[in-house]
Amino acid sequence: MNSNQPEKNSILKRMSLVQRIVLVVVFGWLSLIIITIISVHLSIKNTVIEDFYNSEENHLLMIIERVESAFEQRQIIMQQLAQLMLANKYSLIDEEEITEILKIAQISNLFEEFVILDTKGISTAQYPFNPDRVNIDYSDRDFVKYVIDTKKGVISQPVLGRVTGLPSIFILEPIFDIDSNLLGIMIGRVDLEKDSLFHQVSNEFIRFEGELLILDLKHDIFVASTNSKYIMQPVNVHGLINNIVNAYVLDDLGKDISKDWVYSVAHFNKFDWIIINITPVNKITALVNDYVNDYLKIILPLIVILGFIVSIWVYKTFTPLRDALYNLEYNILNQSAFSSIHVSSADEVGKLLMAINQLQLIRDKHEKMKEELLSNVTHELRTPLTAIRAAVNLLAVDNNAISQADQKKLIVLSQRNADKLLLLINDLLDLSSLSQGKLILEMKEYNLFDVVSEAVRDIDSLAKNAGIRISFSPDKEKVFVLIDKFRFQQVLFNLLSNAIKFSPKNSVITVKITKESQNVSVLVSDQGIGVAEKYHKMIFERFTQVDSSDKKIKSGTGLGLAISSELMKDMNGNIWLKSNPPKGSTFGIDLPIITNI
Amino acid sequence: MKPLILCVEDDLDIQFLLKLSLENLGGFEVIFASNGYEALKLLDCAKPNLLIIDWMLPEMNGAQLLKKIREKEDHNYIKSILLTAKANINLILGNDCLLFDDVIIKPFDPLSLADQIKKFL
Repeated sequence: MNSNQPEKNSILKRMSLVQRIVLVVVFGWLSLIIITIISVHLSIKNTVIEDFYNSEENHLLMIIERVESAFEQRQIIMQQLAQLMLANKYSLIDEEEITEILKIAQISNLFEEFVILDTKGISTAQYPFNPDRVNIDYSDRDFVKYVIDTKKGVISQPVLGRVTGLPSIFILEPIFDIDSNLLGIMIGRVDLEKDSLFHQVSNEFIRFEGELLILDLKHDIFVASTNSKYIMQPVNVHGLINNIVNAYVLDDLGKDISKDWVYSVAHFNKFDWIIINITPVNKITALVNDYVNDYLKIILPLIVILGFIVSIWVYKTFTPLRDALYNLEYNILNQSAFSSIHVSSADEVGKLLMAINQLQLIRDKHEKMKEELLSNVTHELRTPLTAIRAAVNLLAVDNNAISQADQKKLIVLSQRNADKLLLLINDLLDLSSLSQGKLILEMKEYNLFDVVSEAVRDIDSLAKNAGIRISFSPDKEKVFVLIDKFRFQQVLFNLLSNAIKFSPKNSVITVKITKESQNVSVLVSDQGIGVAEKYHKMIFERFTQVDSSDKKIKSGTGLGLAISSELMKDMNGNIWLKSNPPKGSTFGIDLPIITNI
Repeated sequence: MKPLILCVEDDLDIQFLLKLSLENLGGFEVIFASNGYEALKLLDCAKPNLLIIDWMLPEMNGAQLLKKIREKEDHNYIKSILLTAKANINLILGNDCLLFDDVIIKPFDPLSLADQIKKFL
């Protein structure tokens, strides 16, 4: 199990940072696109369906109102017509007159036909004339019976016309005389198939390719339908309608979505009808998809273009960084000469590149300095070695050419150069230990005056040889410091020998101790040519010589001050230089005073 | 007449060794200068047959000194030997070392130095 994990991780890790970032950006953008598509789809779908419902519901209610008011209107017309049937107070007008009136009434197209029945329910007049409808007995019709019995107007349920055989709804009105005796019944026939009302209504729904149904619940038949073949069919045509009707009757729902259909249901007020609008969901989703596609056609290209731009920009931002890193890696691996990385901006990337350039410069500088040091050091080491070797070789020769006095000189020369070699090597070792933090100091308390006096005494012969006088007057007062005596005297020696080296003959080197509240300073001042201000800091750095051409530096490696500086730091002290050429230099060592003795 | 050699070398010990090697063992006459200016001054009065010049000198290095010497008409034709401890001469000294007729690398063998330079005298 564990062996699989590193593999998976390493594929990602092997990709470069830039590649990973671009990958992240691409993934992010793709996710954004997918989320956009999904959310747009969902939200639009929901919105569209919601809107669809609301509009459909309103639509259905409007239809109900229209249908019902249309029927109301027809009833009123029937009532008015009924009144026109009275000849005088007690009888109907004659047939011709009836026909005339009905003819005019029919112009309105609200009814297909008119029939007048007598009090027994037998047809006495009609318009348009149909020979089959003369003297037909309609009294078996329940709605006719109703009118005869209750003397009230009624709207029939959808039935097939007795004579025409067509699906119809009859509007019946009683005809009264002055005394409210029933004289007859006025009937107007509304053709369910042809009637413009239902046509109008159902046409409006065709745009959704759905179905509009009006059902008579009492009698379980279709009143109207967008598909006219359903009219007058009993309501058990397909399961969905049944389910809707059953659920409705049980008062279960007014609207719902099955997975294939969206339907709305509303109840008529005057009739025991319900009106159902059924729309296949895929029609709605097709609509939704159209909206979504239109929207996405604009948005997606924008997102993709934006994604490209961002990717390119990210790539461009990181490419200089990546190139710089490759450059750096190459340079470091090959230790080749420094080649500056081109910086084109001042932002974080630019700053990083500039820092890398700086690092390379410094590294190069250090490399050069090390090489110089190495060549200087080997030269310095070789010189005394040359002398020793030559001297010893000369002494080894049994030769009268060289006098005893000269032989003695050769021996002294060898000794002197051997010492010099040793000092040099010790210096190098010191510096090496110091830089590795391995130099161990033995810190003890000493009277500073004693330590300085000793050092001045020891260097006296060297000074005398160079014709220089050292002036130092110790104080009676004791000042105690915490130092490694040997190393501190090494530092003093360094300063004093430097002063001797750079002082002209017959000059004076002054050594002074000055005390402040918490620190004490040892000052070594010479009357040499001094050190220019710009070199003051550099002079304490390792490998630095104030003048590093191929001219001879006054025998030394340039390490002395570097070592002294490190030593003083380790002793919690400080070393500094004050110099105003050409008036000589003053080197100073600061130390904290130890008071609790 | 003993041949005259002018040695320009600032290390006194090396001067001593050169003296023993060339005068005592080689039988030549030797004069010394510690730096370029001293050398040029000496050349005003002396006419050496050979120059031995150390590379590392104060003020001006060996090559610069030789160039200056060559500028003086009478000293155009004096043979010169470069004395240096530098190992990779060509790399470090560059073409300047070609000015010299020969190069001797330190540490030199004092016993054979005289023989080495005989051919120039």
